[in-house]
Amino acid sequence: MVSLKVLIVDDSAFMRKIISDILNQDRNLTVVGTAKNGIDAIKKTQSLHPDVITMDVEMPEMNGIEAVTHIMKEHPTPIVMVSALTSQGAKTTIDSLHAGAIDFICKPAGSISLNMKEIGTELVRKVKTASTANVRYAQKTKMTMPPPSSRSAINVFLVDDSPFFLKKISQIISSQTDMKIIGTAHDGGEAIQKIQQVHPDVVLMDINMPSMNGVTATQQILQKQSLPIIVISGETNHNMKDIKKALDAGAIDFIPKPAEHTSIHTMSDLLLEKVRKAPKTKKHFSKSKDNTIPLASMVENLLVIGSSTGGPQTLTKLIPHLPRDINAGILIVQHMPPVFTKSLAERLDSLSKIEVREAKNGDEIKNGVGLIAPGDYHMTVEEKNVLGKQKRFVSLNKEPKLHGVRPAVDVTFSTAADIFQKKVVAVLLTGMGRDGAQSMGAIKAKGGRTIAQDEQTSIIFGMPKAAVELGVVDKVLPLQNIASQSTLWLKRKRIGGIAR
Amino acid sequence: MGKKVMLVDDTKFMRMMLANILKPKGFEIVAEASDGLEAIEAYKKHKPDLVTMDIVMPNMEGIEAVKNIVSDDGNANIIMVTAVGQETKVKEAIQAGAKGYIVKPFQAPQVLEEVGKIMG
Repeated sequence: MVSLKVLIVDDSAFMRKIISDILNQDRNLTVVGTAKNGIDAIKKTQSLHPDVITMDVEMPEMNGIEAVTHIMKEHPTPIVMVSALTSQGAKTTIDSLHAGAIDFICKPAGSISLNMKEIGTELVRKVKTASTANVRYAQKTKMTMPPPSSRSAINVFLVDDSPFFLKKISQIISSQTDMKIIGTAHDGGEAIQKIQQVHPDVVLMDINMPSMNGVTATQQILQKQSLPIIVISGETNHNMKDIKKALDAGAIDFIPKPAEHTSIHTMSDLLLEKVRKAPKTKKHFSKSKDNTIPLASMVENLLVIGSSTGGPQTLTKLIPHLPRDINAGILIVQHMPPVFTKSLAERLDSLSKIEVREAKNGDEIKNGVGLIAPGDYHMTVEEKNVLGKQKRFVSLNKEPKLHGVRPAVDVTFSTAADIFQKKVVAVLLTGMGRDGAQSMGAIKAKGGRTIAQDEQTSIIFGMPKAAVELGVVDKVLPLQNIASQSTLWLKRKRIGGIAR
Repeated sequence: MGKKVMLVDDTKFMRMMLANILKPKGFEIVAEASDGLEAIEAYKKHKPDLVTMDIVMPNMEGIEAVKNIVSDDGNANIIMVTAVGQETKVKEAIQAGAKGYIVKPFQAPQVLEEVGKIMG
């Protein structure tokens, strides 16, 4: 095997020395140069043509993310980020993965000189894996936000008797690319009529209005349909009572109106945040007693997704394309350390129509909610009977690593097959190794459907390849077709299993 | 009477995968062990008709356990369960007395075929 040329980028001379020593000890790796900041790294990449780069995140003059962006544009090279295990470190690392870096490794906490040796094996392995990565695809996927046209904007309906507020709030909403005003009304009665025609995703409802106020309108709307309504009102004592009534009637949230017209911009951030969250809220059913909507019907179908190297970048291209009404619970297993899975969950949540969060032990599996296995825990699928109702939920454990990783895809996939039987769609994405392949077989044996990401769009075609070779994959698809195929299978048959 | 099987693997997941394949075919899982030492003890106690044996395990590896079990019971039916790239170890295990092997990841037909060859 020809030796791989490695460039080390770090602003600390000490770290450069330690990483060089570790890599040079491997006879298949040769450190051909070091750089102390991003600008230096770009120059050396052009002159030395390294096969792999290790890149520090925080550096003076030009940081790691900028350097990655530049290198991936001018001279695409596999890059492994060397990150700090902090929440800020996790955020910046995920940013650099989106900028085109292939993978990352965490700097050990505490005494670096001692602990760096411990991660030596992992560093060598990641550098070698990165050298085989599909760099051209990593580079192409660096744009993480799907274009606005592919993401349906949130349709907002606005009810307020004050022309001033109608205009101001409309301006705030319309200034955003991911939401728009589809209708307005000046009082409750008008709102009820118009909402039936325009089907908004969110309603912003003033409380104090002539003829029919916001409380009555909220009650009447929610008796007919399930819809996220956010009430807006000044915080006077009298209004507080009305706000409480509206919330009791099923409004999901409340935004205080600023007392002074001039300070309306102060509410804009809060408003936008709440509007973005609203369509994902599951609480927007009417709480009236004659409610016919089943409140806690058990989740029938499950979408399980497994990924490793290249996964964070790939998930941000996949999860945002899943529709809110996917008619399935969603579980995601990405090989990653603890702090990073939380950051990834937050990132995916902000980009997606479905709700995404890091799983907690005992979290119920719900339609349209994505749960990510937290780093360092296996996530299993369980079922239990609570007060005469079957509940399906996830359980976290620290059983030994499987295939050297925790969370392991195989643990989640196999227990998913046990509980959901044939009503599972499994997706195995980019990653080194073979985690997930064995349990894709278990899912298929139970009658579920399986998808493997294809070689062209996989940053590392390892795990999907293992599943394909085992003969347990229904469809091998490019990344851009995976969301639509999964959704098709999950939505086509709402009762009685996944469509064949 | 179903044939008695002992599953040896340091991961519960792999034992479960094998159990899911063997149980519907009438095999009875009489014991599970997560390393070589446990396997030797459990073999003495349960005298299974068939053993599936992982190779890389903590405390005592699969090959050592095979040697030990076979020296005690020359007729032991042991199938090695191995990962890709462990060919030399499989050879060593067969020399030590294992009667067959399956490669991880596996599918049901491969497992049942190998089991069928040994159990007749």
